[in-house]
Amino acid sequence: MTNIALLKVGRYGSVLDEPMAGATTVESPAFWSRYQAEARSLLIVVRNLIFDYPTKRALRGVSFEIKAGTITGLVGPTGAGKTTLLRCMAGLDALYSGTITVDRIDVSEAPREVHRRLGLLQDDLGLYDALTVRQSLAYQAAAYGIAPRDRQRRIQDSVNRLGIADRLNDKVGALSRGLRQRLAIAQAMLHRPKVLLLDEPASGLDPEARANLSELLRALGAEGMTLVVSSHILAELEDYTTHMMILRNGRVVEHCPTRAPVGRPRRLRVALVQPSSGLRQCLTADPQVGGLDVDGALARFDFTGDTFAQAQLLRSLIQSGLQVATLQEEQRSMQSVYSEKMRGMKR
Amino acid sequence: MNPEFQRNLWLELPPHRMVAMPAVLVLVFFAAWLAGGSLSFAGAAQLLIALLLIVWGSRLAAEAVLVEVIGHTWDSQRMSALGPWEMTWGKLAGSTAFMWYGSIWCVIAFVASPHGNITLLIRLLLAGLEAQALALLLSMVLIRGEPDSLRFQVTIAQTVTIIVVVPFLFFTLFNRPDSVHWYGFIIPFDVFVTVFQLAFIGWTVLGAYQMLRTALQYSSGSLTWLMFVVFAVAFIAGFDRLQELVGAAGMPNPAVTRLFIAFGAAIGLTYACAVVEPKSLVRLRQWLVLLLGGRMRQGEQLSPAWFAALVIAVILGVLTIVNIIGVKAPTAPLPVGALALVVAMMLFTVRDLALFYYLVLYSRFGAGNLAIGVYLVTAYFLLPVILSSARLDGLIPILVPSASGPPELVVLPVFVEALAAVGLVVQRWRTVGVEGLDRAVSGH
Repeated sequence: MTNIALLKVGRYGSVLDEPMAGATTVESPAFWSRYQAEARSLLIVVRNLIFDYPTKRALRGVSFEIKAGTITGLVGPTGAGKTTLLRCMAGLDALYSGTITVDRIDVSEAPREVHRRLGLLQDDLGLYDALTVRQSLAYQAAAYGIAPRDRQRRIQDSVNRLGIADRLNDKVGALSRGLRQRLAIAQAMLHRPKVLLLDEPASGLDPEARANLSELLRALGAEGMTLVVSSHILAELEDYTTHMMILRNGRVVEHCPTRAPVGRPRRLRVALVQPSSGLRQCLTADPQVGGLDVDGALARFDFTGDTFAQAQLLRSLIQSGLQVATLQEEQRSMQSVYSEKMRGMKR
Repeated sequence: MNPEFQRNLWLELPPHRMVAMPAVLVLVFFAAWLAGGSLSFAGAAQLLIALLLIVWGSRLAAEAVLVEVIGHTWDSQRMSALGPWEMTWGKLAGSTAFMWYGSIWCVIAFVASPHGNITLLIRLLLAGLEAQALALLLSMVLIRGEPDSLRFQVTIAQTVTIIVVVPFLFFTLFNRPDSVHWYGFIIPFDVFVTVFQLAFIGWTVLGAYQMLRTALQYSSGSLTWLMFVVFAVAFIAGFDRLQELVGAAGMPNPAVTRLFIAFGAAIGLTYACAVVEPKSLVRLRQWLVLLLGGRMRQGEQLSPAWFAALVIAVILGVLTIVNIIGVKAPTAPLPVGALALVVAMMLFTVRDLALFYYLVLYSRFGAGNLAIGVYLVTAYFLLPVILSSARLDGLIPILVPSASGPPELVVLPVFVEALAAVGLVVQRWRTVGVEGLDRAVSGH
């Protein structure tokens, strides 16, 4: 087991190889096959990342992994290190120590290789106001090395998808913030990156533009693109993220899925019209119930069954004579997880 | 076409500008012709070429990267597939395209004038290219310090460029000796200046290329810089006239004098780099961590420019000392003054470099460079003037390297000062360097 544990925390170059010669392979070939598949699905791996500004340590030993095809919401208070982390992942700033690999490529060793696989949308967008939308995209396509024969098609695909096809001849400086945002996203994904990093993409957008942005990011995620989105607006992230990472004071304090994965227990909540001692008894009797917490007329518990089993549970509660007011899945919003973590850090 | 050049052409040469430039120039030429005939016509063309290519062109070249930083497009360019050479010539030629477009009209007017002088024209065009390449290089150097006011850095790069190029142009146009004596060769002045201009352009473009290479995150060592230092030192040491000027240093023969000049040039470059190059605490910390960790190849990429110049200076200094001792006749007395001068120059350099870094570490950016300027003026100008005014000239060797003072006065005080300065840096480093920062972070 020791060898396996060592390999797990090592560089993914090692993990993806067969077990080291001489190592005691105590796991079955199926284990290795599953393990290697999992390692391959890890698109971004960050280990002990430290980054310094002249008078401040911005990132303090940050470590995490991001799987391919996920959408991670990066949240945290101002100055937590979100933008710095994105810039480090994009290979724009030199690390003091630690490693970042994107698609198994070390960002410090081969930043330009990483750039080919990655798109970055910064808060300030970075557009050429004096160029037209067509010129901006043509420049981006050429600068990012897209073959001349593919450029026109890629540009047309992007503008159609982002809904700016009718703006091709407009000057960028004349576009609204929402349209500029779309153009910036079109530019960032023109070279079809595997990973798209977005820093505060919704800032300055009106509600309609925000809704459009959410829809676009959800669609990109559904197509398999891996996204990391830094934002202050948690309710919005909730619409499309699969994971949440909370950064505080240069450290990752939480990195978790925003939805319970299939096969994992769901947290249910049952409320009676009035308290009853039969509630605990009835719930304890069900083998699919765990982590029970009863407080008067209210009970919270983990439930491993599916929705049919949930209906069966409701029926048995009613048949036991309990006056059930509600039975529902308890959703922990990103806001509540974030607030809990922040309160925990302050204590 | 190079995408960077193409983008610059879109921005710099829209149709209305292409029409406006010749229209304005025609009016200026017409006014000049009315004022003074063909002589004024040619003069106006010369002046306009200088204004367009040197004054305005250097501004545009200095802005080539800085406007990208200000407009937040620089990171996207750094992440693009554009290579450093594409970026260098795309920015240099593209950002100044409008000025070159205007200059073409001026060149046509100049050549058409009966007073047009081809040598002068070539000198002007090369000076324009020199100015633009130097401005681009300087702007790249200045942004490495991540300054607060980027617009101000454009002005600094442009001003320094004009200060370097314009006097050179005036000197080579209006004070023209017949020939230059260089390593004993007698070279026609115009040939020498043209070759010098071409070499200058070559090195500045190569410098800008190296800076862009680093910015685009290609691994780049310090070989190019080292080659430039060797070239510059060898070039300066070649002037025979300098041998007469440093004759008072008491070097035993012309060959050693030339070696001493090369040593002095290397020291000068070390100071120039140490003053001009932004000194980042983070970069310094990373460099030392890599060196102390034995990662020399990565460390080399972060090494400050003064380091290579200092290494060359130390090698030349040691060679000078060895030659001073070696060429001495067995019965002749040791030229102690010359030896003390070389040793003192090395010690002064070590002392000043240590103090520069002490000031940077003390001020943690901000006022560091200003403090260095104040320190240099005080140490090498104000204090010697005060001593001289107080009739204490005998003490000046304590402040400025000298071959004429008593050797112990020339070497010992600065030796103690150098030790103290290095001690100060080490002490300061413990507070704000790796150990200090780690202590602060871990709360101990």
